[in-house]
Order: sequence, then C-alpha cells, then structure tokens
Amino acid sequence: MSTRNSNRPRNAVIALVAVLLLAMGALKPLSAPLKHLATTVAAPVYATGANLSRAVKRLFDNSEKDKTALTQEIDALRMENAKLRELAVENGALKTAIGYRDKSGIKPLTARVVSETNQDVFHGLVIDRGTDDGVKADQPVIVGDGIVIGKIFEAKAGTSSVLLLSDSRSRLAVTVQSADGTAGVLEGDRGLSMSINLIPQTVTLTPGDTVVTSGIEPGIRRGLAVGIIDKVVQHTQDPFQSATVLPFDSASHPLFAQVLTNDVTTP
Amino acid sequence: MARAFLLFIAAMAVGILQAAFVRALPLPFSGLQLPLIMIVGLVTVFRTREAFVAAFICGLTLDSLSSLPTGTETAVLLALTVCTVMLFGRIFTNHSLLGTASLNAVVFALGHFAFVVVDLTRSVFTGIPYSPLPNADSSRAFLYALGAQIATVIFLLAVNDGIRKSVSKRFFLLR
Repeated sequence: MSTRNSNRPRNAVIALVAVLLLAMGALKPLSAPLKHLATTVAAPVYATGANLSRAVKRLFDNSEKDKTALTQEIDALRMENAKLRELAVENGALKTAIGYRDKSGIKPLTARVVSETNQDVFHGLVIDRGTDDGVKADQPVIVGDGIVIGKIFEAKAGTSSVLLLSDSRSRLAVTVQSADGTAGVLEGDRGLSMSINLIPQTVTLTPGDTVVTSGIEPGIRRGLAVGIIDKVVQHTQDPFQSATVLPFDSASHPLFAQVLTNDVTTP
Repeated sequence: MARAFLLFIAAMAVGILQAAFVRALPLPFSGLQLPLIMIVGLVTVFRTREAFVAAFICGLTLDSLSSLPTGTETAVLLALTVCTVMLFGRIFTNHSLLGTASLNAVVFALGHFAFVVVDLTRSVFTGIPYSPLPNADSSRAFLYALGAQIATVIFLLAVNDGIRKSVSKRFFLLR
C-alpha cells in the first residue's frame, strides 16, 4: 500500500507530461492510428445510438408515431416544391445571364457522423472527414437531397466538427419562399430552436412557408432547404417581426452528411 | 501483457461508447459518464497505474471523436483520476455500496464542474456568450444525469456481484 501511495505523485506527473506532449502534437504516432480506428468503429455505434434515440422518442410520443410516414412525405414534397420554385426563378435569371457557370461539377463529399456534442457552448456533430479530404471551415453541410443542417466549424486531420443551425453562434442567410423572397438571417438558440429576426412587419409570413438559403452568403448556394416556418411573432409597436423555424424531420440525428466542399454562389 | 492489452481495448471501447453511443441517447441517458465509472472502478479495484493508463487511452479516444481542442478530454479525465485516487485514499475508503456510490457521485459532480470550467475557458477565448451559473433547466438536467449515473453504478455492481456469486457457487469445492 505504501508503494502504491508513493507512486501517486509520480503517476500524476507522468499524466501531466503526457497531456502536454499530446497538446503539442508530439504523440501523433500514437494518436493518429487510434483516431483512425476510433472513427471507423464509432460510425456504426453512433448509428445504433441515434436509431435507439429515435425509437425512444417515438415510444413517448404517440402522435409522432402516427405522423412519421406523413411527415416524411410532406418533407419530400416541400423539398421538391422548394426546388421547383428556385428552378423557375433561376431559369429566368439564367436566360439573361452571361457566363453561366455549370453547377453539375459539384460533388458533395459524403461523411459518416461519428459523434454528437450537446454542450452549452457547442451543439454539433463530428464527422469522419477532415482537412485531408478538402474540408474547410464554413463549408455548408447538408443531409438527404439538400437540407442544410449546419456549417463546418473546425476541420482537423481526419475529422471535422459541424456547428448545427440551432447553435447560438450559428448565422445563415436565408429567404422565405412565398413571401416575395424576403431575406433574413436565421439564428440558433442554445441548440433548442431556430428563428429569423428583423423581418419588416409589412411582409406576410405564413406558418408552413419553406425557408431556403438565400445564396448571398459566400460559399453557400441559393435554394438549399433549411426548414419551415412554425410560428410568426408580431408586436404592434415593433417595426419588425420574427418567425420560429422548424427543421425537417430528416435533419435530426443524421447518420450521413454531405459537405459541399466546392459549392458556388448563384447570383 | 494480455492484461495490458485487455485494459487498452476496454478503455478504448468505453471511449467509443461514450462519444458515439451515449451522447446520441435522449436525456437523461446522454448525461451518463461511462469513463468516470470505469476510472472509479479501476481505482477502487486496481489502484492508480491501471486507472491512469485507462484514463489516458479513453481520453485519447474521446479526443479523436470530440469537437473540443485536442488534449482537453484527456486532461480532464487524468485530472479526475487524480481526484478519484485522493478521494478514495482519504475520504471514501469504504468498499461498501454506499461508499462506492458516493465516490461515483462526487467524481461525477467534479467531472461536471470540470466541463463547466472548459466551457467557460472556451467562451473566453472564442467570445461565445456563456453563463456558468446554473439555471432551472441545467440543474434539472444535472440531477437527472446524476440519478442515471448512480443507477448505472448500482446496476453494474449488482451484475458484478451476481457473476461473482454464480462463479463461487460453481467452484465451491476449490474454496
């Protein structure tokens, strides 16, 4: 016991030195293969956890259980509708535009989600693609067929962290369809909700309107679906109104995500 | 050698389970801290060296699957191992169920506090608004997570006890 007690300070000093070496990057030969192995194993484990989480959510929410199929269908139809609207606008603009850039060259980089983070200062995901694959900060991350869920916050060698749109730091330039293309900034709130603020009172917003990216933000093209308007908050004295935005169902606990590494802005 | 390899695999598995599985679960289960249960278990059964090695490997695994700066999770786990060793050696010296559960509860609270400090430090450096003071929601989430942690510890102790009893019954002639 006395030998064990005398080893305690030595163990603590070794631990401190190990952390310092790790922080300085000196332990890369040990941490790099471990990271590779961990990210490989973590993806299916995360899928199990995410599926279990969805199952528990459905178990405690009967209404959601009944509505799941309908919600998915509505999501798909809204997506299609949003795309068609944007295509109509884009088509008109392209007829008069000079030097049209073909977007067919865009190849989204598919990544597996390996972990989630729900800390007070960071609500996000960790994906198994990093700087080695051309991932950089602020690149948009989508799921499914074009639903934006966030942006790359930090890219490391084999992994990247994605800041979700619901995080308090998240800002995304968006436009509301069927409201004369009203533009605004979508803001997150502590990982719980998303809202568009500072919309003039003169603009008519209706719950159910689709919110898409406006394309004025560098690196993020126009027309990527974000969510639907849930509630509109108006105060008579206030010159502006705000709207709460609900994310699409398929955006929660995604198993795969796509990083638009070479996205272009459509004017 | 085989024991060291087993420890390595177990620590890594706990890290992967924590980062990929537990964090995806709904509340209060997403607040569970499996690495802390492992560290307390190792400190109370094997003492310091095994606990430090496991904390380091588990921390490296967590760091590779985390959005925090590299080394943060490892540093927090190693610091908590030091705290666990001190608490077990000086305060919670009893191997009883109450003693083990209390040690787990205190280490869990210390772990929560450590990540509050990490978040606060991060908010200072990144300019993110963050209040370390608990509010009603965060207090409730903490208490639920603590309850889940203690329930998990008691469950694991019961399983361990059951296995030991079963094995000792089977080999009672060897005793």
